[in-house]
Amino acid sequence: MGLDQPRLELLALLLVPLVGGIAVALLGPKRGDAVRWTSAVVAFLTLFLAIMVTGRFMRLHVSLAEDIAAVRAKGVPTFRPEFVPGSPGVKRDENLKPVGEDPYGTSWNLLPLGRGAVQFYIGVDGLNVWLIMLTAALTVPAVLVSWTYIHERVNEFYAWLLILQTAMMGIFMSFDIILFYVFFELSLVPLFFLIGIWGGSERRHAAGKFFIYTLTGSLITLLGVLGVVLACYTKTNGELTFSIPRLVEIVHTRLALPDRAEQAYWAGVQTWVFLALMAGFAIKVPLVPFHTWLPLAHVEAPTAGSVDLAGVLLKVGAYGFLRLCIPLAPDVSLSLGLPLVSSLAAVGLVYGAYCAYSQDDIKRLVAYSSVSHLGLCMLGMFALNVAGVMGSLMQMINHGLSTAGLFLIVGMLYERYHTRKIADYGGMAARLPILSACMVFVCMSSVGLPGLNGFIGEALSLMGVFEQQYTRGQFPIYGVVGATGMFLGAWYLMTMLQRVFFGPVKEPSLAGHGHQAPITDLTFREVLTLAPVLILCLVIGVYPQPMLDTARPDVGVIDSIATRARERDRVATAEREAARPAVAENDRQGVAP
Amino acid sequence: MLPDLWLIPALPLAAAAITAFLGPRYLRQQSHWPCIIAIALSCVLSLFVWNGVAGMGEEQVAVGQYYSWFRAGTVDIGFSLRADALTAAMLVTVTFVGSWIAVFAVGYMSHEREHNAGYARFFAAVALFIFSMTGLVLADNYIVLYAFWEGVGLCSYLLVGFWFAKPSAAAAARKAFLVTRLGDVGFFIGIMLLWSSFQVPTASGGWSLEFDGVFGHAKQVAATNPGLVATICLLLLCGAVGKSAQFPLYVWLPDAMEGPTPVSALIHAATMVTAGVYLIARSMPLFHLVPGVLLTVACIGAFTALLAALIALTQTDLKRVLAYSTISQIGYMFLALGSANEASLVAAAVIAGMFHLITHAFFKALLFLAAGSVMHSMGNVIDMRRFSGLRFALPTTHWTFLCGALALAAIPPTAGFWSKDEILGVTLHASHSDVPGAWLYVWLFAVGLITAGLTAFYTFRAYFLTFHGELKTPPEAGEHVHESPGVMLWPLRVLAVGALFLGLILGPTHILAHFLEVHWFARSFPGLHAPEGGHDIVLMVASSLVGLSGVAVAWWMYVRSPGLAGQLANRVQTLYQLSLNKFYVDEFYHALLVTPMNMLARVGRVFDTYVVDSLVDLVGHIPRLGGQLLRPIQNGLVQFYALAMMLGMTVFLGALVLRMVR
Amino acid sequence: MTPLSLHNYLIVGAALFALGAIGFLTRRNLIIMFLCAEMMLQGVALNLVAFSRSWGNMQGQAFTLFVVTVAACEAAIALALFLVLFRYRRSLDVSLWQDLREPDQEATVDDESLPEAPKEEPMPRLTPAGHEPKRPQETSPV
Repeated sequence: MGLDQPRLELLALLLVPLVGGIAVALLGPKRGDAVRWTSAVVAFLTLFLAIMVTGRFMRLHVSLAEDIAAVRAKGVPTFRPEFVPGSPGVKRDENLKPVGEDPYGTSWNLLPLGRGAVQFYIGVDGLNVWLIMLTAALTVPAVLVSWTYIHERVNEFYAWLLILQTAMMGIFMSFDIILFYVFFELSLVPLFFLIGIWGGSERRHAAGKFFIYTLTGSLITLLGVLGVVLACYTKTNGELTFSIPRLVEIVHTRLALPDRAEQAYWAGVQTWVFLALMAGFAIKVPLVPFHTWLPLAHVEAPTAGSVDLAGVLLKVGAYGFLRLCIPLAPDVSLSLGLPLVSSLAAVGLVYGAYCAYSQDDIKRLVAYSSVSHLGLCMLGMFALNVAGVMGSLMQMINHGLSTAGLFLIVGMLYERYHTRKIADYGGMAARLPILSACMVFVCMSSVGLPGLNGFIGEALSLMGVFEQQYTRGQFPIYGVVGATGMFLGAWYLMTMLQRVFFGPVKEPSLAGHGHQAPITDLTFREVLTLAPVLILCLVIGVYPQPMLDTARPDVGVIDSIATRARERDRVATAEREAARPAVAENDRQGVAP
Repeated sequence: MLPDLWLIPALPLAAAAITAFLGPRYLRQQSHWPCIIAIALSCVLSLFVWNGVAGMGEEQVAVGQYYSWFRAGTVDIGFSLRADALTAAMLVTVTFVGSWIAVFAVGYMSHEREHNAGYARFFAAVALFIFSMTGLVLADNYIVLYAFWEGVGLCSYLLVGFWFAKPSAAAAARKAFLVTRLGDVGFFIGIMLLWSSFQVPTASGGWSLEFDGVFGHAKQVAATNPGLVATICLLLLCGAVGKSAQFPLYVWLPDAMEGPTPVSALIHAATMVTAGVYLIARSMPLFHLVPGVLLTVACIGAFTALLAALIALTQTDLKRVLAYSTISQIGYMFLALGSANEASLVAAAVIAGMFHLITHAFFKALLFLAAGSVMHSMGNVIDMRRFSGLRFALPTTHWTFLCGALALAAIPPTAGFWSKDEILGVTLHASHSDVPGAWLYVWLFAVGLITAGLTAFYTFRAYFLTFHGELKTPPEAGEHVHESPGVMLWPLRVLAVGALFLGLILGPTHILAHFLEVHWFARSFPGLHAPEGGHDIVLMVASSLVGLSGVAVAWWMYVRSPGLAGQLANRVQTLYQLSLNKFYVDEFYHALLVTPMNMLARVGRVFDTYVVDSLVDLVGHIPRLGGQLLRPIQNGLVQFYALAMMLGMTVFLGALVLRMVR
Repeated sequence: MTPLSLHNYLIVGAALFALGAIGFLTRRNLIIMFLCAEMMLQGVALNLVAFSRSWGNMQGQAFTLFVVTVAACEAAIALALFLVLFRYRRSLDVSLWQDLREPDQEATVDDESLPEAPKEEPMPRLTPAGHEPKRPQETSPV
């Protein structure tokens, strides 16, 4: 069976960094170089595996695109992961007798619970494949950039870094809701230590705040997770399932029933599920006003930590919205989520940009720019149509690349001059020309210059928002706000560029940092660290279509979920209108061509 | 035969890549070769394109669809290029002027040659600019147009900030990028609105932004929802105003003179700043449906032309005078395009605008290059108060500058005369139409005529101050003032010929008019006929008289009796100060926009630190507060704990018993 | 004579438990407190046995066996601990051991003074191996 191989590769993608992390930890703190090389090998191996998996998945999706679409058009919309390790799961009847294959499960049970089991159910689909790729791709620069930066407890550092990679991979791959949650929480631990041990002067406070803030939110998320499992359990004669595709299927089967009581029940459940799930994800994204842990954590984190935090971990929040919130609470996503999340995102987009402008610390500035960019990402996602969701997905990847690039460069600057204050710098373009050229490039990518990656995500997201608002007959306020973000982004980044890199040379004093090697431009290792990020920025900007094609069927799932929700909403509104005397009829005529 | 369209931008792009990566290491002082060769080849290809377009049938257009850039759901953006008359005219202008300016830069940038990296960086950016600019005019849909539009913005940023170590250059680069970006936000919203409201279907089920599809739909949409089309056009106008440095977004252009002079000539005079004019001309099938917006375009153009001319009267920096004259001349082009308020005028208006665009590209590039040559000889001094009487010291520069000045002042029979005359003619025609508000065009015509006089005056003021009077040179120029090398003079000579005779070749012969009518107008406006345009002799005489009188006044004030200018300035001190300080527009923007934005940012930061984060910390303190309250219970006494346990058990059991009893 | 009914046992068990509880809460001597705790245990054990007999099954008695065993173990550990504690403070007063309170809490101090600590007496010592222990002289022959 040819398909068996990618299953093992997928498993290896999870296990290689984990084993590598443990091995690195066991090497001991004395053998610094061995630790570094091992980590680099592990990171490259993971990247290689990720490329293999992605390549196979792309081929699968291209060759089967029409079949997939045909199969999906029939049933209720739900996810369908590929390359799931283990054989297909077993479906049981009420007496626990096996009655056939379960397409939404695997035979690898982790925790059997009578009628169901928490399963080791991982897989790849269009929504997560590029995020897995991003995680693998960003670990390489994260390892390389720490090469000379970390001197103390080297083995522990790299061990935590690799375990963090495992956890992030696990989050994206999981199709079991409990497994997802376990990885979701697990990712906090390595980052807590990365910030708390190797961070800056305020590291303890930052690590504590980061940990407690995000943990609080995700505990509420756990309630939501359990809530939706229990709701499905009670409504299906005791079928206990933790498989996300199956849960989505159950929710949508029940929602399609023409039963008033059933609908009222799900309306209530959805609201609470949505709010509970949102609590954790909104903090993780972060949506304003739940963002204050982010600048602190970023400023204190070592460069590698910032890269992983901004590049990958922030996407976990957005990904959670996409994977759980919208499919499991579709009606509420439309009625409550759309105005709530969109307005928070729009506010965050502008507010983050303003806060970014006035920062005097480069890393803080980049951190606030993340708030702004992810605002646009959420705006696109809650357009709830193909263009918007696709744009949001692209924005996740692109923000991951460009912000990681920014953090890498700021880290390299910090490694040379030991300060991140904007006021301490000036005219770096004359002193460090290659580094500055890279910085201008990455800034342009972040600003959304067409031809680089940022533009694709921005354009698609905004087009989604305009489509959604225009077809609803509303003034496209979110779209307009989103477009102003394009100016604001340029505003703070250009100002930072001007202050730090242009003008007369002004070097921070190196007094108090001991004897130092003379300041040089990028070394070969640093070029190697940055080059992949920059090349990816360019490639995605010029030719993003393969990525879009790969993600298309599964974004289509989200779209058809949202379409059904819109349809239900329309029917319900029509019924309400019919019940009332036809006063409001004229109002509705004016709306929506 | 048409060549492959993609080659035209691809050649400069390849040159840019080669120069950027190989320049500093391997090409070193020869870094200009890839750039010059690529632009020259593009120029040849562009001429083939012109020829090919001219050989096509009336309603044909050459479209090259290359690949699908991004396509998802309703979004379907293909990377496609097109060539019609409008494109061909722009292409030839851009690449022809561009190649001569690149040649000029070899001489002008010779100081940078010792710093290999800087020299290569310059030519890489110039090649990148030509790539973006040719892509911009070749684009077949709005998103691709927007992409290259931003690309030229980036190149402008890189080249204005070329001498980034100078704080003023760094600030000017940022200002140029941000101000144009502000307009681009409107432009982008306009594109989005266009896309989501027109919903032009494509083959793959998405909504198209291709020009033909959108324009085909426009009439239908305008019939049901004219307000929407007007909004879209106004938003597109935002982008055009920003990029073409029109009021109120013109403030970046004078500052952009911080860049090297060839850059000023190429980007900030001849090509990039006319992108807005091209955009409106290209979108004319949309604009002509809403006469109100066209009136706005015309008003913006006329007002900008006058304002910039008034500011140019008193500037002492030669390059700044030219910069304001650029703003003013692009105002003329806007005025021309805005005069298309009636179907029968559309062709004439666009032809006038494009004609002026082309002649302007030649004579303004010439003027800037000549100014650059002066600057080169004067040791980078450009303040007209510090040198004078250079006509014998720099003979070639002198007579080429004179050619450019004559063209700018619209003295017959130079190029500027013919194109400006057509603009004034079409504006006068527009006032006769029966569209509401048409009477305003009479006033706009008057403004245009007055500005023509002012233009002649300030141009020759600059000319007389620089080249006449006693020979005076600044100490930076050294002992012996010498003419620039041949590599700089030949581009001047070529462009001077263009400035003198291009108008005669293209104007009275109707070559350009015919070309545009047949190969652009006929396809874009099916069913409309362009009436044969003739030249109004009265108008021609009037405008040449105005121009000549402007020159005469300048001669009187600066050659005949040089003290007069100073006396006049003292007489009307207020007006003089207003003009000298550019009507305080920069200060106004600073107070009204920049300061509040900065303040808001600072407020945002304080708010974030002290309100939002404090609220979070407050929530974090609640458990601690609860802990504080409960702390005394933990007193370490074994028997107290035992008692508490007992009591707890008692309460628990009591409750249980009570429940059972009930 | 009628056989004792269940509640007779329960009353005795409850009395034992209550006495033990009162003793545990009011006395401060560690050993007395420990004995009181044992008494509470035995009260519970009595209950278990009584119920076991009443229901006629063995579970309660089995439990009781465990309780007794645990109590024995406890006694061993507790008494050893007391010995160590006594060595530290020369007293068995439980209120001397309140160090595990919150750091900024005042110590609870008794108003009444304690009775004088008994005079230090030498600990009995075991004779090292290999020596003949000293025996007291036998005063009277058998």
